[in-house]
Amino acid sequence: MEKVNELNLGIRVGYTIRDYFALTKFKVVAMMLFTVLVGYLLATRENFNLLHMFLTLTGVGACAMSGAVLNHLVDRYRDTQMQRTKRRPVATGKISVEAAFLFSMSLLCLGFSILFWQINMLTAILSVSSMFGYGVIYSLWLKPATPQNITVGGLAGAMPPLLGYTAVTNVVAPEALLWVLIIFTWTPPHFWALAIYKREDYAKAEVPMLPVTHGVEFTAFQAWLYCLLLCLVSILPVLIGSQGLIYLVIATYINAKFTWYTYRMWCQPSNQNARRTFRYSLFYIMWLFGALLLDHYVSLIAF
Amino acid sequence: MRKFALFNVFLALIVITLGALTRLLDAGLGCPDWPVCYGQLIPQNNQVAAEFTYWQFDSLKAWMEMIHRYVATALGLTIVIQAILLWPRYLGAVRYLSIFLCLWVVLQGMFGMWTVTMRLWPPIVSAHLLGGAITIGAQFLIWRVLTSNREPRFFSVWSAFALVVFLQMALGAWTSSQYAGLVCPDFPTCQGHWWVDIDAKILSAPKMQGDEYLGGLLGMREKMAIQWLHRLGAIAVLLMFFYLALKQSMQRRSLYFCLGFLSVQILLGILNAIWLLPLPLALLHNTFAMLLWLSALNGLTAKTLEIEKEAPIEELLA
Repeated sequence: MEKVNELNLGIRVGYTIRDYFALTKFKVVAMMLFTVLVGYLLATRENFNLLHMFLTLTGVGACAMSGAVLNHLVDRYRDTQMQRTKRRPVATGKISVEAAFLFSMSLLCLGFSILFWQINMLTAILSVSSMFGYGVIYSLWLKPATPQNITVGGLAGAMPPLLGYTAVTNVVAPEALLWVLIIFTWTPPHFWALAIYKREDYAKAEVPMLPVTHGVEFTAFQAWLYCLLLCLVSILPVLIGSQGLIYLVIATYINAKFTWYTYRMWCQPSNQNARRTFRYSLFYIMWLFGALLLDHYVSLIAF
Repeated sequence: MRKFALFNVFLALIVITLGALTRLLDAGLGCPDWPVCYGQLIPQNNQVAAEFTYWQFDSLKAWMEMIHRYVATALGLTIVIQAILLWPRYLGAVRYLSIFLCLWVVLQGMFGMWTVTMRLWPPIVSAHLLGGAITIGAQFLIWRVLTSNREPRFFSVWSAFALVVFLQMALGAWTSSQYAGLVCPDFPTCQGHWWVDIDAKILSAPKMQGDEYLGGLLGMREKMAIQWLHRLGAIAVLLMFFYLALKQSMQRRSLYFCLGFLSVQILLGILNAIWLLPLPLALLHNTFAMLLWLSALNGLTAKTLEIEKEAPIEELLA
């Protein structure tokens, strides 16, 4: 009898850990950490301190996860209305509000203290403010207020490469701001593609996303316009001379491909086209930052 | 129509091979004037030719250059005929490609003219070669679309691979037009160096000066750097091929074509470097570059099975 109880307890603990892990939106955070890593490596030259890098990633990651937990907490009523999110742990009540809040705050304290004591104050303050901008300003205030919510809220998600850069240099440099600008411009076409094929969910939860309030075609057109803007913004690093030819070639190719996808979505805004555009947008940002990294190291080695 | 398109592909390949032969025989200035040769349609060493004082009449070179010009003109005519025939019969990509090809072949003729009138200025020579690659690529795509009845997918991993191959061809053209093919007689080192420092200046257009660019103007170090860059480009193509094979592992046939041409091409490149550009091998290096480029474009019309799987999506702002 006791053995059965132990087994049950083990399974329950395992499920609880999995639920807490699901709260942190780890896949998204992993992608943000990749851009942090790129920002970090581009700020260094041949040598860098592995421990320092690890601490930066942990600190920024903990802050981002804390923001994600807060977002789950704030969205718990809306989440129950949407097919996509109704299984989230806080929405189903598997994790209580108090526990989630405590979890979020402890992650925030952990992240802030690591960044503050081990890295520098600028990075710590920027991390916490971007987490605040996402978890509180966006989730609580912007999201239910305006169709332009993700355009403004995208700024919080765009901060990571800057955080990686400031962790090394302790200053906010123009090229790091350009990387922020790139992600900031990339967010609308990326997110609106998702919103187009999940529009019924958003309509049911009464979130004023652009496809719900202004229609699918207008949204797809806006996404395409932002994509054209992104084509210009993403080659700005070449124009100010911080990146070279390899970055230019890769960026031009993936820009053309992304523009083609959004253009097709505008011509025929079906769910399938929107899903393809969304999926490609993830590849886009990975490749763009991969190209930054590649260009940096090739020019360090070859020239 | 399909047979006519295939005929055009072969004709374009012949024109490109003839062009490479012209270049390798240093016959690019076999006729120093354009469009006629020493003032005549058929090259002859007579009174008219004797008035050209700077250039000596050389029968072989003059004939080589004129054959290239005449066969290229024939290709231009067949391309225009093809566009006229295709227009009422087909819609979509084939139509656009055939019209594009008509315009492009005119531009390619202009590049041929400038190659002569600008006396083998390296950027023009390279552009002439790459223009040839684009001509044969578009012609090949027309043929493939006609035979497969599939619209080409212009954005896939294949097109990224084709882009890398194209850039490597551009580096190869630069190596040839700057006469940097002979400077490293060893492999994988270059004159005993395991690493050559590359200055970004070697890719910029040289100043237009002097009478002609036969033999090139750059010093030994710059030529070494150019060839070194071409070798590094080969590694990039190889890496890109592995990525392609990983991503599109279903399309075996197209991949095998690519792999075959790629391995032969790399072998030819190595042999060219260590045996100092023997004529047949240098010619084959050019031809296999074109075949590799075509096999990369072939992937654009390869059959695809698109698997749409609905993965649970996490998004930051959602």
